[in-house]
Amino acid sequence: MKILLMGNPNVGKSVLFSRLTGVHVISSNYPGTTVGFTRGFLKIKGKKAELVDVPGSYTLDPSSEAEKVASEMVETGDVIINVVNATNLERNLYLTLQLLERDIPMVVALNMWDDTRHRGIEIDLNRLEAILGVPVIPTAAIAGQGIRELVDALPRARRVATPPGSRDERWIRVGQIIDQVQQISHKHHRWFERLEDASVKPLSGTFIAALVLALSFLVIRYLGEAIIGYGMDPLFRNLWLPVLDRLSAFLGGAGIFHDILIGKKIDGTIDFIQSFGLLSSGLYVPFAMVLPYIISFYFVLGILEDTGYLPRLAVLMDTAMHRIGLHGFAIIPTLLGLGCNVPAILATRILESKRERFIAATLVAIAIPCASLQAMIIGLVGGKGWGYLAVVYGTLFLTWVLLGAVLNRFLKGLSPELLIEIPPYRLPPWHLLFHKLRIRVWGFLLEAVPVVLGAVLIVNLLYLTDIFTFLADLVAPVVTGILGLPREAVTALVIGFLRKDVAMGMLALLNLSGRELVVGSVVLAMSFPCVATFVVLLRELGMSDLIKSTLIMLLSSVAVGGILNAILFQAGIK
Amino acid sequence: MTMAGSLKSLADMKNEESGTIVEIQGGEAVSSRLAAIGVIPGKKIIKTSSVSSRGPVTIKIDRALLALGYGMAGKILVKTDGSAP
Repeated sequence: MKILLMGNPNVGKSVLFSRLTGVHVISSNYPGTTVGFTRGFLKIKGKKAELVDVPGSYTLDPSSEAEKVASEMVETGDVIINVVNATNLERNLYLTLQLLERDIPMVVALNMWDDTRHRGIEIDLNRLEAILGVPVIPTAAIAGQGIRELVDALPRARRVATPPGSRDERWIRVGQIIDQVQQISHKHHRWFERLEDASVKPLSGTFIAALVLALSFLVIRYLGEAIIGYGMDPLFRNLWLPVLDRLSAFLGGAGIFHDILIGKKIDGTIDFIQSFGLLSSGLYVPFAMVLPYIISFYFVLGILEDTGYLPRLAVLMDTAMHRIGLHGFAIIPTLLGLGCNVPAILATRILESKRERFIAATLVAIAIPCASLQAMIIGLVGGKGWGYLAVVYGTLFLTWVLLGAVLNRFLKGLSPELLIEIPPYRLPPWHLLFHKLRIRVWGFLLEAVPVVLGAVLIVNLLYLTDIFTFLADLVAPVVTGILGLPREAVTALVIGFLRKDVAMGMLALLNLSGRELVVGSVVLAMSFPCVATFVVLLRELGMSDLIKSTLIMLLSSVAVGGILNAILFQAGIK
Repeated sequence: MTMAGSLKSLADMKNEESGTIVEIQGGEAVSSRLAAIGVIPGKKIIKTSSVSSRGPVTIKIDRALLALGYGMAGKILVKTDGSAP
């Protein structure tokens, strides 16, 4: 049996899904968190049934990618659980009526039930059940209430043969139902609601946005540094280094195996960054340099997502974002990209047009460095001085703006206008927040660590052959001539295709000057996405757009890197 | 005394002004996109803010807060409630 969880965006389907199946999915407080669909299983009276978390949609007439998925999925279900936001019944019943017309057995989960009372909303459950003709179960997914009752009600799911209506007829029907089942007593503005208004007004909104972003940056930075300084780095130096020293002595201090496992000794000692062996840099880079920032970034992002602040930022940014051919909502995939480009490019599905998705995905792949790369850039470029770091970020930001403006100018078509529902603010449910953080950190460890180790191994093996020399000869004119980098930097740029953090680690081996390191970081960030991003780009954009996007990447990275090098050189910066 | 309401587009409404949607202009593509999210003739709305001179407009409708682009707001015709004394 296949059960579909369907409903408007941001009504809590994903939280309910986790509750029903025990499968952990990412949920947030903004419409469009789920763009693909997730499957899980639950047991009903001892029998196993499949449950699908369908992306939220307002109607079954597809107007965005998420709605297209939803409307195609309906037909495949044996039972539908229609998740309805109890605090906003009139906006949710339209889809309910449309689903009833499909003649598939259905149950309604009246979610966020615990929120109705303090909002002054009263709903006559029996009446609603009688009118709709299907079981209506009040639930509070975040608090875990009503889940058992919902599962028990599934066998009672009923089909109601409603004749299909027109759009206007359905809305009239919604109005009639609301009049019969819902009563609202006016409640005074809570201070929360005042804050909700203030954060989308131009003056107060800009002030709040600046405050939120500055605070986010500070928390990410200091939390990341604290995890490194008080946790990972001492752990590696005090516990792991002695182990490696013994192993090194055991292996005789040199030789092929020694170099692959432990790496080359720098001034007679093992250096966690420069030795570049599997057990030294191969573990230190992902666990002690990148992981701390993954934790701090996703902790802060989780708070931003769950409070409901992001859609407000989208509204504020809308006018500015239109200049680069996107509407304000594109700020969400962009922020996700600062964590990892893969989910960011998937999230561009919330944008309506193909043109917009192409611009958003290309800009993310080119100008938005992921957390892994940023951790290494902060660690290595930051070591040369904060000014250098500012140049790297400033250049990437400027590229994002200018390239967006250029794409907007030359790509045919207009960008559609913003149209979103802004959810109310909510205090982040902490158990969900840490849950989400755990999913994302595990995701990083499972996907990134093996690739990092693989990349380090490949680097070591290739150094034994002449392939790098061959590659270096091939592109040396560009790399040394235009970018002003030593020819050995070519190898790092090539390895960037596997993992950007490892590539950045390789740049550190070259004893680069500040200018070279800045240009190298920028080119590494822009030139070519890592292989995982590349695969998602191919899937989301298709071959011809991927080729277009890749050409733009290569051209812009060489151009920006070259110009940056020339400017820094002229300014006399070494 | 109450001033009679007047007919204007959502884009031209003042902040905090309320009214009832009368018509959505500009063809089926716009009206179906708006209808999906619950913006249909007959609904009562309050305009809560506009971000900049041609920036998105936010409205309260059925106790939900919606943000829509300026161009779209220009196509929504509203009969305003008029101001109480």
